[in-house]
Amino acid sequence: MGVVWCLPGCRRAPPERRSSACSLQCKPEELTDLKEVPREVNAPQRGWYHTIQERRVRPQRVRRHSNPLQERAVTKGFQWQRKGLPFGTASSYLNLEKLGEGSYATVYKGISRINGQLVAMKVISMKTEEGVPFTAIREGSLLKGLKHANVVLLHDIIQTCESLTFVFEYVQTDLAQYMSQHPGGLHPHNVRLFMFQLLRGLAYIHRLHVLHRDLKPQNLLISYVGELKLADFGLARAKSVPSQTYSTEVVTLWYRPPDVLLGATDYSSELDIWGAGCILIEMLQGRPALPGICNVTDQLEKIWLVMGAPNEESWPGVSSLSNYRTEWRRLPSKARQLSAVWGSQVTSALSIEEDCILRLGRVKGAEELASRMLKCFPRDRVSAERALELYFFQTLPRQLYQLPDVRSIFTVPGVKLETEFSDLFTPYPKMQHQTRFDWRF
Amino acid sequence: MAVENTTRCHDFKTMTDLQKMPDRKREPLTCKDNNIILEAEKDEKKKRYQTTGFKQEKGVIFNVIVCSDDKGVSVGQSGTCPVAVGSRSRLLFIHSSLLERDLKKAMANVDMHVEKYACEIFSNMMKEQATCCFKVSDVPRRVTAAMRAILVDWLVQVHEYCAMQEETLYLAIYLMNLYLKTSNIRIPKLQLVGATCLFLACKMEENAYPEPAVLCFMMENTYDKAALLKMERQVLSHLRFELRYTQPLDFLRLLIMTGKFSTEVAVKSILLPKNNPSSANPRQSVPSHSADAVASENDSTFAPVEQEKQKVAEIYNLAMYFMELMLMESEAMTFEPAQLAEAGLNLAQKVLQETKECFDTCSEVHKLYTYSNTELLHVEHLMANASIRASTSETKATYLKYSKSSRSSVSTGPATVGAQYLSSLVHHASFS
Repeated sequence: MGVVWCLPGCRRAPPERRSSACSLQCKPEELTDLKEVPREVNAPQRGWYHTIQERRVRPQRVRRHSNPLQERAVTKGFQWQRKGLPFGTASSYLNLEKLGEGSYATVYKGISRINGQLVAMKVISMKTEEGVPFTAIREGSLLKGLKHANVVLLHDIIQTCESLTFVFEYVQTDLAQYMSQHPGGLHPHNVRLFMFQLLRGLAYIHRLHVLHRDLKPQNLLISYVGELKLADFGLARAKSVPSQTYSTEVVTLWYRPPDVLLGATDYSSELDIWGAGCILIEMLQGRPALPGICNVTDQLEKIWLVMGAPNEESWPGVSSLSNYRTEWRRLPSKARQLSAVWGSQVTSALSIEEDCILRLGRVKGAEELASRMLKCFPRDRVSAERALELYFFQTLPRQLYQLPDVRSIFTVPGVKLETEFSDLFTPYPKMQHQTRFDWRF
Repeated sequence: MAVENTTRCHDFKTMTDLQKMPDRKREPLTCKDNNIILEAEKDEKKKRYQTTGFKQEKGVIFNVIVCSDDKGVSVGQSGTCPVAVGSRSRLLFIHSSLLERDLKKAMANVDMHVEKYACEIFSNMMKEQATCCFKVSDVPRRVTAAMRAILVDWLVQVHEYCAMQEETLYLAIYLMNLYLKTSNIRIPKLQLVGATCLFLACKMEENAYPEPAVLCFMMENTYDKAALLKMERQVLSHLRFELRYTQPLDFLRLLIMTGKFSTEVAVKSILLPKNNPSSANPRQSVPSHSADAVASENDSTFAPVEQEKQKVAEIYNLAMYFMELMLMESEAMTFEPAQLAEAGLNLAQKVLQETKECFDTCSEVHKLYTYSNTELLHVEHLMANASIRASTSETKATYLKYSKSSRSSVSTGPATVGAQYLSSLVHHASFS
């Protein structure tokens, strides 16, 4: 309710207050496209951005029970947006702030003047010799064909002479941030919801013959309500391509399946399933499942420690792969029980809280799911669609399985996130991002 | 090597002619004649349709896909039974579970172990491919059939020279057609558009794409790099990043895999040569015999498996040859990818049956796609026509490409030997 109250209050501010706000101008350069502000807005409230500045100066009210879903109702009140602005032009969007910088793109937060929605703008520079980067071409053309509640939505594509901008829906945080905010493992119920959405998204893209190929927590976006969305399809492909195009960053190495690490190039949807399995364990225990240190061999040996080293019996054709080493034959080939590996690790720092954290072995069905997903031999891995049928997801309402593609699972009554056990930013969980990013309040 | 040289030198002369062609309203010199020819052909076609009773269905036909798996294949949203899909498309029944198993196996072999989703992917492919065809009127009139043929011919040469994947060529030409459809192109830029589409297709399909400078060199530096990159942006914004295409080659492979050939043989002869052409392909060590000679040699020396492998390779290459010839014909743009694939394979079989006795045995190919016989015959007729003209026409890059021994020399072998049969087919089609 505070939301609704706040906005008209600002509008009706007396003139002397407004001028005082003018003198307090802090960083007008953050709002880039001021020239684009339509005229008619100036008449009733001169310089709408002053009101924003003013709101910043005010003591911030703590809104503990704010409902993020009201966001849209508020944005409707903004009059500076215009009807009939075209898609595909830069002037239809306002840059608000920089969110981050990727390998080939910079991401900004922005707001659409077409419908007032918040957007994330991925600006790709095209000043290279090669023209439009191939990652951008693949991502753009793939995302055009994907419409699903668990895949990030591509709103618009803007092309100018020196840059290419993908306009995505704005999603507040990602799984990596979420996990670092709630250290020591997530609530099992939340893990179940995230996992369900992840597998639902994967099942969808696999059905369309698309592989994501770069699954990691940074690429899974999480909204306020807990919707999980697959993002960053720069490495994705409709068909398999040898792994040279695979990112060489160490981070992704952790989520890479053994067959790809060994140099196999004929991988398929099983590739993403391994990554999803690693993410499941990371969510439960709060630390990466298989953090290799430096290189491919190290990563592989880490996997063998858990799964047992493969041989021709358990994995036909393994020894013909390019990175296979004969000395691995001496390693034990028996797989350990996953709950024994990850269920019993004790960190010294958090040993008291440790007790209340449910680990892999204690969450019903989690171990089964993880062991079905983490198989060395690619063909043994469960498919995303079958995984959704496993016991781990039994407690979720059955309606979730009948939802149409574009409906979020949170539209089903009774489905919502639980409060996490630990939060670095207590006592206001999840407020942190809102106060930092959301300039409207 | 000699063959390759000729391919390379067969040369961009024709292309430079194309560049010199006047802009906009002044029509290129050959245009009038061509138009007349086109008109004449159209009239002829109309007559033919009337006489043979071939009518193009205009209404909305539904594409019904029925999966009759005991367990119910699809668990997710796209339900188990009749999936109705709008637009112009076909009836498809995966009627027996046997065929379905075959299909799954084939998909697993072609598309790398996706049997878990085989049915859904296949039905998606069928849905998408129906949108991948054009109307004849989609190409602007000032781009005549002859000009288009020259351009495609040049693209085939560049594609061959850079040793790209087969799919890249099909995608490039599809993109080019799309761009021609949506934009108002000027004739002097035609080659630039072709090169740009190839460049884009490479970025989509290939691991390593050529430098823009290489492509500029291929165009004899008529356009500089900046122009190429600018055109790339233009093409992308015109196509609105919708670059997905269902490859006719995928359908061809599926057809062959589900056919009567034992799958392993088919996999070996189709997939392996592509992956590592130097080692896995025994035919390459054989110097350029004609295919007949090789076949007769094999009867005595090679094991039956080897022989069957060669049969599959030959039929596959011949079908690919017919399909690739169709890239040049602007009339062939109206066909759906699956239609092209099935017609190509059908024709290849007929030709091989006609020219060699040993081919009677493996003639069975499952009908995965239900195109009516008339529809297929129409495509086959076009293909036959094109292959008769191939060796003598100006644009014979495809002919030369498929005369190499690594492609079973199908264009000089069976296609030439069977020319009489082909012409009789054409004759028959035009008079019946």
